[in-house]
Amino acid sequence: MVAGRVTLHSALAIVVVWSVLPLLWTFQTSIKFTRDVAAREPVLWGYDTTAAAYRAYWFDDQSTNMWQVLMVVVLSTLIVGGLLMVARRMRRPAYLNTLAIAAIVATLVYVDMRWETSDQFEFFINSIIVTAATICVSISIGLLGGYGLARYSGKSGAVILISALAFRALPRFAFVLPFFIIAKSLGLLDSRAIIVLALVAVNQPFTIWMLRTFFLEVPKELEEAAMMDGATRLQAFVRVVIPTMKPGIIATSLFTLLLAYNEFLFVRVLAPTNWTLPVGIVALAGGESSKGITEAAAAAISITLPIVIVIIMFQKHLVKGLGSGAVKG
Amino acid sequence: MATLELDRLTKSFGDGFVALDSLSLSLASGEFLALVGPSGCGKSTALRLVAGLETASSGEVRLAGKPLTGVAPRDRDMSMVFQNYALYPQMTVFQNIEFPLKLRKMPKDKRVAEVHRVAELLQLMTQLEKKPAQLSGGQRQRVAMGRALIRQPQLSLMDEPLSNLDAQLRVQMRGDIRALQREFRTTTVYVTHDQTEAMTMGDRVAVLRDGRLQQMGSPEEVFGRPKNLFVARFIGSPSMNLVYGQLEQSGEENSLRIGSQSIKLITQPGNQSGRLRSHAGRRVVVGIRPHYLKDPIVTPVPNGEVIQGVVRLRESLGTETVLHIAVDAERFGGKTSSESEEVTLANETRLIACVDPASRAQEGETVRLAMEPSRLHVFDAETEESLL
Repeated sequence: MVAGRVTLHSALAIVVVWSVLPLLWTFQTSIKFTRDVAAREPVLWGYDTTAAAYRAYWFDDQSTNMWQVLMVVVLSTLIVGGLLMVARRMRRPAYLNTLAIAAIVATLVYVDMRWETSDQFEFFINSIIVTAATICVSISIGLLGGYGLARYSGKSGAVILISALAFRALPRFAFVLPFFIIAKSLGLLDSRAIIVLALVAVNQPFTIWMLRTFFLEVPKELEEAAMMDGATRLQAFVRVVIPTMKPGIIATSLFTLLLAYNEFLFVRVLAPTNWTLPVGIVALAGGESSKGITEAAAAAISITLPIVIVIIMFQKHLVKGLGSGAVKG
Repeated sequence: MATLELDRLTKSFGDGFVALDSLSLSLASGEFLALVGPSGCGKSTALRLVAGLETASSGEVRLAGKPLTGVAPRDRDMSMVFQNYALYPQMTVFQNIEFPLKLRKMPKDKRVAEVHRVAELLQLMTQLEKKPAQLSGGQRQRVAMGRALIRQPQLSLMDEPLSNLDAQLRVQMRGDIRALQREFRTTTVYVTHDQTEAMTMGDRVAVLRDGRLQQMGSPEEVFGRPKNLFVARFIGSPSMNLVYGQLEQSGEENSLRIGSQSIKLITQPGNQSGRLRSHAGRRVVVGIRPHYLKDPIVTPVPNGEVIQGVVRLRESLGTETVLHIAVDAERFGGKTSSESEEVTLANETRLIACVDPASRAQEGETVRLAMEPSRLHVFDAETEESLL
């Protein structure tokens, strides 16, 4: 018993170190001076630290006080986290959630006005907008489509589901050129809208499938009870079915978020200049000079941090989503 | 409170399966109908057709004389209690009960007063802020009742509302539901597979089998004068003893030959003895309920007829003693044999008799059982219809 547990835990410890080490290494690199990074013998501790790489990545003005920036970011994170924490304990958390979103927007606007930000900051804003819009559109369509396909069991339903899966299984490269042509003829090239459109199209089969498996778990009697109580079909859907879908919606949103936030190919092709973060980082990592390495590392950490925070906040739902929706279905 | 009529209501599915076959019945205002039958007999389908949750293939439902074809469930003014309660999980007990009123845009203060009135009635006052997941089965059931009671609908539908409760609670809720229904005088259709529930609760009982109505009447009627073998077997516990016999006639007297024994059959005046007469000399199925077979030593039956057999098993239940008696007769299995509960190891026919616990009958002993001839049932062996 005990021996087995020791073996298991040490095996898990190795896996944890194995997965976390690259992230730690990157973080270390991002706060070193170039001379330590470029040293023949790796400098593992006792080195001087600097925020220069972050400054170079986020700001055009190289005299920006990074302590002030850090304070703004930490303060804003605390406010948003606090609001969401309180909201979870309340019965009607809607306005607190709105307040949290407002706080995030206010922080971004403040940073943009207070300091001279770089192009990367614009890409970060793009990333946020594209991701949020993709989630909203994708989930709205997914809810309607998933609900319909969960409740309707006819042959055409099966055909739609299978063809959606086939569409999803095709390589991303197969669509990117058609999308480019569509974007060009619509005059939407280099706009956020076309990126959102393309990402929604690519992601839709997944959201429909995943939300459908969640809908299948909602007993039919629930809507029937609502209709007997005097609700229309739409009222039964919005007021009774959707609220029970909350874990499913959050889990599906998180997967959509990961997809949209990390998307490289579509953004690179459909937006020649109006990039999101993943494309922006590649521009940095391309060079061979050791000067770029610290900045690329800072970029990687900067990109990863927001996603890590979001995932930690919602990881309970993510696990639930993996357990009940995506895998089991 | 309204009358309900089902007029040749039929539901068939695309694959040709007929779930409900031309069901016609009518309920008086304030009546409580228990719709009973084995699983798959179409009773839930009938209820869902009345509710408008499914569309009938043909026939119509009329509430207070008005046909409901094409009327959405929300406009039918009915309430429904589901087997799994279908409580809204994200809402508190209060919000669950309030929901029908909210949809009707009743002002807030009135809603609160109404919810409190119903919660008090159902003893849910202390539970109002809880979510359904935090409640016990019985409490959930009461919340579902509350949601149905909060507005007084014209018709109340219940789909096996007690089947998820434990036996003791079920007996208690049976009485509670009946008391509430009597208080509000709401016309009610109550679906169940449990014949005890149907018999104890229904003003009238409708027995359904394979989508067809077998018999509808008061519990006494359905128990005392079953129209066919299916009803005879389905209603009553333990179920009726059924054996093959031969109908014999000499003059005005009918008698039944069961194996090597013979018992006299007395037809009450005004009975359809014509049907019996036409079956003279033919094979019939004879039925007698276990509680009408008595041990004449402890419970004398004046003018009783007697049948003889060997006690194979004696079970003492305290208030009564159940005897399993092997008799010389051919057991009726019938078309419904798969539904019958009788399990006999030996290839012999056994009668079940529920006799007075004072009976001294021992296992292995040959005993005589007495019955009043008027308690006998006779059925056509082919059509399974009652001949009385």
